[in-house]
Formats: sequence, structure tokens, C-alpha cells
Amino acid sequence: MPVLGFSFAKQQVRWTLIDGQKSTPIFVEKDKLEYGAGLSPSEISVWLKRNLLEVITRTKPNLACYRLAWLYQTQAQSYSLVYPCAILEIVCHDTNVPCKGFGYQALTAKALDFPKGVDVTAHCTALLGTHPPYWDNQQINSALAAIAGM
Amino acid sequence: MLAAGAEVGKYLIKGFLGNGHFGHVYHVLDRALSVERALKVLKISDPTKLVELLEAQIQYKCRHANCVTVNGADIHILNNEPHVCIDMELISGGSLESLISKEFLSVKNSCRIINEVSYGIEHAHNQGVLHKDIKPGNIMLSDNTGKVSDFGISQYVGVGGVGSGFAYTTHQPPEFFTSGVITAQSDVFSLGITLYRCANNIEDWRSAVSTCSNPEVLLAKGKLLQSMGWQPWVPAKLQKIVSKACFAEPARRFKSIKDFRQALDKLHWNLDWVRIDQYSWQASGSAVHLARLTGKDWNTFEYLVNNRRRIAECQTFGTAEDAQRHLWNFVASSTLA
Repeated sequence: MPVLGFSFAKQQVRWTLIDGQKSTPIFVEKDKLEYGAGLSPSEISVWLKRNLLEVITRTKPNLACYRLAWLYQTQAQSYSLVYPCAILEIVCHDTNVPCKGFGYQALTAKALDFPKGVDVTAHCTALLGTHPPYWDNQQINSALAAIAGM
Repeated sequence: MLAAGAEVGKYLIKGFLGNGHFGHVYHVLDRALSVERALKVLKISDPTKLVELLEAQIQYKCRHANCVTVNGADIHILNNEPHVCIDMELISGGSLESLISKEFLSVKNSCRIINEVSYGIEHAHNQGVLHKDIKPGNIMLSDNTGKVSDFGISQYVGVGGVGSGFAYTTHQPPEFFTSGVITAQSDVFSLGITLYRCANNIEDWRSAVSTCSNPEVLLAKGKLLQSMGWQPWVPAKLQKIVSKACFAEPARRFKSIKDFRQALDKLHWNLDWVRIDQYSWQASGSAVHLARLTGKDWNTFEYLVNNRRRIAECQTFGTAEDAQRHLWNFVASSTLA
């Protein structure tokens, strides 16, 4: 079943669409969406809603998952890291797509059913392959969120 | 043409709004729901095929916050002839074309409207629909939000995929004139031309095009924008983005509407300058910025923030032309951060 994973960072949204099984996930598609600096919280929220809706509508996943951010200290960081999770939940609710958030405890090797002690990032790339450009930790985090939801 | 007061089923004609590709659009009252709508009336050319319904079907399939909503379609006999009547959302704000003709549209506002409309076009593309006729006249403004309208010559991707003779040719990419094969990238080109018109505030597009020598050749080669040039207040970064959307070769153009929008999204806006007159520009926000030319010979440049002169920025030039050039450069360079 196609599962869409999201990872949110400053001024950008990463998403990866994964299909197959949790033990044998198959990479389908990914993208990086960015917005400019200087947007107000309401402008960021509108941007997120429009873009997340477009991704969900186009990819038609059975499930959308996101990685919960737990390291933010400023108000500005919360716009980039916390607002997107809430807006994704609303968009998923409106489009009838189940949605799940995963904290860091759910993205460990054990929780993901990866071999004990492996580096989850490296193992994720070994499972899905490398998909440049920008197949970096941020992108892999979105893939891990999708795998966690499978 | 239907006169005010005429009845079409449950609709009462209140006035004429304009012409679409193949029919007339009226301001009507839906008496059943007591709401005002726009009603597009199309004469049926072949009652056995009813191709006129395709526009309504396509637009209904493309339901989106940034597309004009179709509420329904029906067939009515008017003047003893069958007509397709498409019930659409009534947009109070008029078209982008009429906005440009009425007031100065700032560069930031131009980008905002095009950005909004791009979501509607992208949604149509995701539904397998090419709009094929994007232009300011087909962008409606509802509460200042841009919405795509007139899917009269739209078609599904792969169904022929050829250009239509009804399309506004000055907004069409070179492939329209050469191979005739139209793709999603053709809509990217048309949206780029639309942004060009807005950012440059070109009120009379036809006259502006006709001032170029051999406009047909320039169109076919995709060199129209280079020939027409840019207004000096448009930031170079935006010029680059629009030029990329309007490259003659599709391979060098943005691959999709989303890529075009992403380039606009990444712009970091600073001041939203609006031209007051030839000599003064104003930007409002947390503070009121005023850039203007003063003096007997209009050769002194002044920059004021909340009515206080910024001495370091103010200067006097030898000629009015130099001062005017400086004013435009100042506006262009401070529009983006």
C-alpha cells in the first residue's frame, strides 16, 4: 500500500512515497518543497495547506505519516516544525487519508524492525536505494516515517 | 443575446457579464436557492454529440479553491434552439485583465495572484486536463484570490494534444505554431506570459505586441518577451524566473507548474512598492515607505520611512533621466530582500 512520509524543516517540506511491505519497502517518488524567508505565520500556514493538499491529492496514499519534531526552541522554529504537522492532520482529515505522527522512539532500528543495532539512515538507503538529488538525512527521515507507518 | 428579465429555467437573467469562447455569460439569479450565479449559455452545434457539455464536465472535474466552481449544467431551449447552460460561481472581483486596466498592480501582488492560480492549474494537470488558454482575461479575482476560469478549449492530456485555433495566440508557446503539440509545459509558458503582463502592468497587450516588428515571427520563435523588454522596476530575479517559464525550447522551461511556483515561492519579499505616479512610489507594511523625485527639475531623489527622510539614501542628480533611473533601480532592488 502506498504510504506517504513527511519530514518538516526550516522553510521546507520533504516527502517520500513508499510502496510494498515494511520488510521490503519500494521507493516510488519523492520531492522537496520550499518557501521563501520572511513569510508571516498565516502565509506559512496557507502555503503548507495548499502544498500538502496538492501532494496528497496527486499521490493518493493509503496513509500519510510524519516525523514529529521535538527539538525546537524559538517561535519561528515552531512555524516550520510544529504547524506543518497540525496542518497535515487537517488536510488528511479533509481528504479522508489516515494520518500518523511518529516521535524519535518510533524511528529506531528496533521499532522499524530493522536488524538490531544498524544505522537506520544507512539501512533505509540500503533498502530503498539512493535517489539524488538531495537524498540526505532530511529526505531519509521522511522515508523512515513512511516505513514506520507500514 | 438574452435580455435582463428573461427566464432560463430557474434562472432569472440580471445582466450580461461577457463572452466566453463559444457563448455568452450572464449574471443570473438562481430563484430556487435565491443565490446569484454566472450562467454560461452555449448554442449546441450537434445535439447528437453535445460537445458543449465537455467544458462543464472538465471544469467540474477540476474542482479546486483556485478554479471557478461549476455548480451544474443543463440543456434549455432558448429561441427554439437547444443550448447548454453552465451554472457557475459568480465572481465579484472581475478579471485580472480588468484589474490591470484599472489600477497599478505591484510586482508582489502579481506574483501572489499567479502563485494562487498555479495551484488551480496544477490541480487540473493532476486531473489530466490542460487548460490551454491561460491569460489575464481568464483569471478571475474572488475576494482578491485568483481563480482559473474558462475551460472552453481545455482538453484531456493525450486526447490529440494539439493547439486550438481559439486560443489567445500571443500567450502560446512556439510549439503551438510549429508542431501544434500542446503539453503541460505549454500552460507553464502561458502562465509565464500572464505574469509578465501583470508585473509590467501592460494594460493594452495587443497594442504592446503590435509595436514589435514581426510579432508573428517573434511569437513562433518564442522571442516576444526579449523583444518587448521589461519595465525597470521589475527585479532581475523575477525577470529570470519568468524568462525561464517562457523559454522557447520546452527542455529549458520549468518542467511543471509546480516547479514554476516553487521558484516564485523561494523569492524573499521585502517592500511591496506601488506606483503612485511617475515620480513617486509607496510601500506600506509595518512602516510607510515613500520613494520619490522632487525639485524643480525632478532630479532629486528622496526616500522617506514614516515621513522621516533617510538622508543617506537621498541624492540629487544632474538630470531628471538619471534621477528617474535611480528611482526605478531603487524600487527594483528593494522589492526583494
